Amino acid sequence: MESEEKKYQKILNILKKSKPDLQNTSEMEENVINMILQKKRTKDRSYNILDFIFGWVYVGWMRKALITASIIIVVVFVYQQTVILRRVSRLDNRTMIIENQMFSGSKDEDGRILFYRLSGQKLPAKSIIISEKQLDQIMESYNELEEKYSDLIKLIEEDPELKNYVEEKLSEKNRKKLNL
Amino acid sequence: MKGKSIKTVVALLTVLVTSCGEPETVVTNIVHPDGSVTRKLEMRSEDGEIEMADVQVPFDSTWTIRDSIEIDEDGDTTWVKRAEKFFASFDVINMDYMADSSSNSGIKRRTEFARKFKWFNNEYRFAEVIENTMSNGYPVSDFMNEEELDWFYSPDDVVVDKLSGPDSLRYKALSDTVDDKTDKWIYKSLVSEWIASIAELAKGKQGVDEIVEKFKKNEEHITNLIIEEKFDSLWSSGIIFKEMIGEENALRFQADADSALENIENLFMIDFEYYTVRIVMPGEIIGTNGFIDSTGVPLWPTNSNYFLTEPYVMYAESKTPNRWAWIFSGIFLLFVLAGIVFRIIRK
Repeated sequence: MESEEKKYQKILNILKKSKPDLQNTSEMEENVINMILQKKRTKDRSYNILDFIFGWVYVGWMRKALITASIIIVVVFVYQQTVILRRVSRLDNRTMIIENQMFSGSKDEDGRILFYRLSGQKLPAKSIIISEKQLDQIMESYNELEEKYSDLIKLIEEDPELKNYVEEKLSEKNRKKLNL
Repeated sequence: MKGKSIKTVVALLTVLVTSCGEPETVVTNIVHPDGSVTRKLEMRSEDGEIEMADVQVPFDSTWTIRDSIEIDEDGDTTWVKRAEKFFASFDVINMDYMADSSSNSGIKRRTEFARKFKWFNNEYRFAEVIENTMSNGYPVSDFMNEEELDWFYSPDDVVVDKLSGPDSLRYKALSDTVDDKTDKWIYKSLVSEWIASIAELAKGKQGVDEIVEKFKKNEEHITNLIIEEKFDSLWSSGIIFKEMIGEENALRFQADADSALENIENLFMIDFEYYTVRIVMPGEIIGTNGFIDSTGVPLWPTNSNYFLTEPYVMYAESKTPNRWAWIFSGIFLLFVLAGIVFRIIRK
């Protein structure tokens, strides 16, 4: 065991003493130095670009200004979108969707009729234009009224007592009108 | 009294109805982002060819006009006139309205356009406005709630559909309420206008302020008399006047009051032919007070009651996104975020 250890030491000594005969050692040295310098230069360059782009992060007022501007942009965006969404949803709730692209008919003569009822004037010829639909509606209403009151009028006519009562009430009403 | 009034009106209407042949017209404003407007008219009539004078909005030979005839399955003929014109701005449309010779030339109309730059979006607003005919009336919104106002501003098509559809009883009640409130609103506005007109006509006369004040105090009372249909007889017999302002004043101001009534008649008797307004906006619609048709375009009916006491503003608002602003803002936010991360790493 001991002799093996000695043998190993001997071989190691022989190998240490018999160094390889290197040629162009200076060239090798230069190459190694160049490689090391190049690595360092690349590292330096990348550090400068990032520093250049994000240099503002080291300037207090600039950092604060840009962060404030970003917050303002986000707030404005959120506010605008919220307002728009709210308006669109209100529109959806309120607006009626209809098939037509053109409305027909109108209640346009209502006002005129009211005016003539107010002033007690007669409707002048040529100045009233109403649609057939409106005329039909008026005739229908008139017939409905006539039908509704015909039974009542008949009933009153047939009963003299009731007739007297109604006439009395009507004249009473007229008297009240005059005593404003 | 009521029966008599209704009968008289019906009888007169039956005799005096002279025409119902006005064309059904739809005016479409296609609004461009730069504020220019392409205006299109479509007029349909079943009573023969459409004359330029029949058209409800300003329209002349400078428009590109196309006439056609449509015959339906039953053989009924409809005359159709389509016209189109490009307006460089809304001001040019307003100039046309100022020189209006259409069948609705008696009313004042105008258009409005506004564009707002809001960084992420551009917002647009276009409106067709019909000016009010009465200047001393009350806003209809003083008399009706939101639901009733919706009903009031609904076109006949929609009203008839609702009255004959499901939930018709509820709509019938709503319709009756709106009719009653409409009467009250019109009468009250009419009385207010009449009082203002008396004040104007009798200006300078001794005691006019006192008289006007008395009428103003009795405005509600006069309105109720009209609603109860007691006004006709009381007015013609002069009782209203005498009771309110005294016999002597009644004699002095009777002529002014009669003239005032004629003035209101002129305000009321403006001929107005209804038509439909459509507004096609650039971008997405974000606000309107109109209806929306099946193509997603806002549209409005017109009716002389709508602009009796307040301007009738038919408006649509829309927005278009500013893509460049979105991209710029995104890049800026990323840049700031990257800067913050960079600082944390370097620390």
